[in-house]
Amino acid sequence: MQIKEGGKIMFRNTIMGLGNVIHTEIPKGSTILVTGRPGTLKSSLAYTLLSKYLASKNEFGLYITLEETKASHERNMKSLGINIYPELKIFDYQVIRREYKGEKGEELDIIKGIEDAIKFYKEKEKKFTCIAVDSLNAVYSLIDLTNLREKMYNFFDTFKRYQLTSIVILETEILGNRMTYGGERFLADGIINLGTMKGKEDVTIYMQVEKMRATKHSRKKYQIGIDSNGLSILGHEYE
Amino acid sequence: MSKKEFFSLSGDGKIILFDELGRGNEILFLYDENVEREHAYLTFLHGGLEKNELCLYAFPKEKARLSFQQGILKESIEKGQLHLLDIEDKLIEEKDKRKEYISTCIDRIETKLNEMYNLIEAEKYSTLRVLIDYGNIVESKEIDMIIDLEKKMLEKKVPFTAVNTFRISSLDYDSVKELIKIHKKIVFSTKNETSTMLPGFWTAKRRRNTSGVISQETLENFVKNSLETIVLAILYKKPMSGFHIIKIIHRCFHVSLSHGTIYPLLHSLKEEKILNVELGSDMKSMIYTPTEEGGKIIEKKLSDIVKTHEHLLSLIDGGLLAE
Repeated sequence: MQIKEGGKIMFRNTIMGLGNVIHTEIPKGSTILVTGRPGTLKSSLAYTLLSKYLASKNEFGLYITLEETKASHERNMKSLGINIYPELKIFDYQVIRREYKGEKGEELDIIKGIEDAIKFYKEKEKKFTCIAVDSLNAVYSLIDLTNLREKMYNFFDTFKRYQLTSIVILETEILGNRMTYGGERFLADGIINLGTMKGKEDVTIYMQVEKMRATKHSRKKYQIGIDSNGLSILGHEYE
Repeated sequence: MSKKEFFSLSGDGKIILFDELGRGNEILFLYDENVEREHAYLTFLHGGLEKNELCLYAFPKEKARLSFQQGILKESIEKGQLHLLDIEDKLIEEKDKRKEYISTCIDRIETKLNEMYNLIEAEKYSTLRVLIDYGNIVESKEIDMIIDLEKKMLEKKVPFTAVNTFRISSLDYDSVKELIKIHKKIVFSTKNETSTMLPGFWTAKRRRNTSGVISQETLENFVKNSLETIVLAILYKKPMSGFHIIKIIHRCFHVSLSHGTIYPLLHSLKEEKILNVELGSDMKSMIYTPTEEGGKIIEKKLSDIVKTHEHLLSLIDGGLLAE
């Protein structure tokens, strides 16, 4: 069956070899959780997927960085050979968090803030189609955790209401033994796990698609390569 | 610093705007018992505290107590910038005893005010801000005592801004008339309606640059639709951070904006090279300043808006139709 491009997000061509992992394109408006321990290229993968897609389609996207400055994020991307594309605007929350810090009676409502920022860019940019939130752990650190599942449902629903394909980064080490906080694994349409494997001489980083609704995909672990052209997907690690 | 300030009171979903409220102005606020006043009082006191004014809030004991247990009010009480004075509100029927009792209340207020006049000079506060809620403790026959006190305040020649509030049911027509004489602006608020009046202009045609009542919804829509202009006008006057822009908009328009509304706007104005941004002296805030080119754009934008509004006003006044 031929895929209608209009209803799908064309991620497969953004990273060399990704087509071996994801066999069909992902429905637009999906929320994809990218999880992994520190140093497993979560931000790099999310940024590459979105920025390359947006640049190829001349669309606009927002990359919300809550814990890293824009300058630091861009420096990291460049150091990995990942190009910076203006189509994916980096929205740096560091400044906002700093300005609100220590101000009595002035709480930073991060969830409402992100929704208002989405509203702003939806009005300003006609082709605003994608968003990334880096990271969900930072969101958790800024909100009251009661009724978290409901809050996360509403948070993820915001992306759907505004017809945005979203990538949400979740640092798993911080969660310890707990696999989930606010039901985000159940709420997400797709989950990409990143991790490390010890090789003979070094450590390799892999990606594994745990789930991806309405998309044909492999569940194997695939090694991620890094060179001067950014990320690429190498062969799968295990049969 | 300008001698005039913007001031507003809010209540019942309505905002009362006073532009150019000069120091030395006294506002008479008459309300009926169903009117929620706390928000208006807090706004008035916050405005003074933020401007380094020495503030007094006098109120009928246990009847109009604000939330002093937290935030800026608590801190201001602790550091001596905000003073509180309970006014006893016993209902005394016997005529002689009652007069003596009210007289004691007024004396207490006067003593407190004298104490505060001295503090202004000693502790270098910019001016005095006074909010006296007389509630229904003063009846018409005692209004002369209030008027005497107000006159004494004016004679002090100390710059001050004052709001005197009364429950309307405790006063008769003549008392209200006398009170109006010594106040420059009057706010009359019932549960269903809030009006502002300027003595001497009651029957005059609508005047510009005086005062007005506006619904919260209208004001919110105005802020939302004119946000870029408002932000540019604020920054044109004084460079500041996104955080402080949010606070100023809240103070002036009673509209709470989230950071998600203001910061993207600032980012895009920076991308359009209308604004510059640099780290503030507190080493944590990013201060937005109009660029040279941005300043010209803002001037033109503001001038166009003023002209457009003047054009609209002249149309409303009938000037254009008359031609």
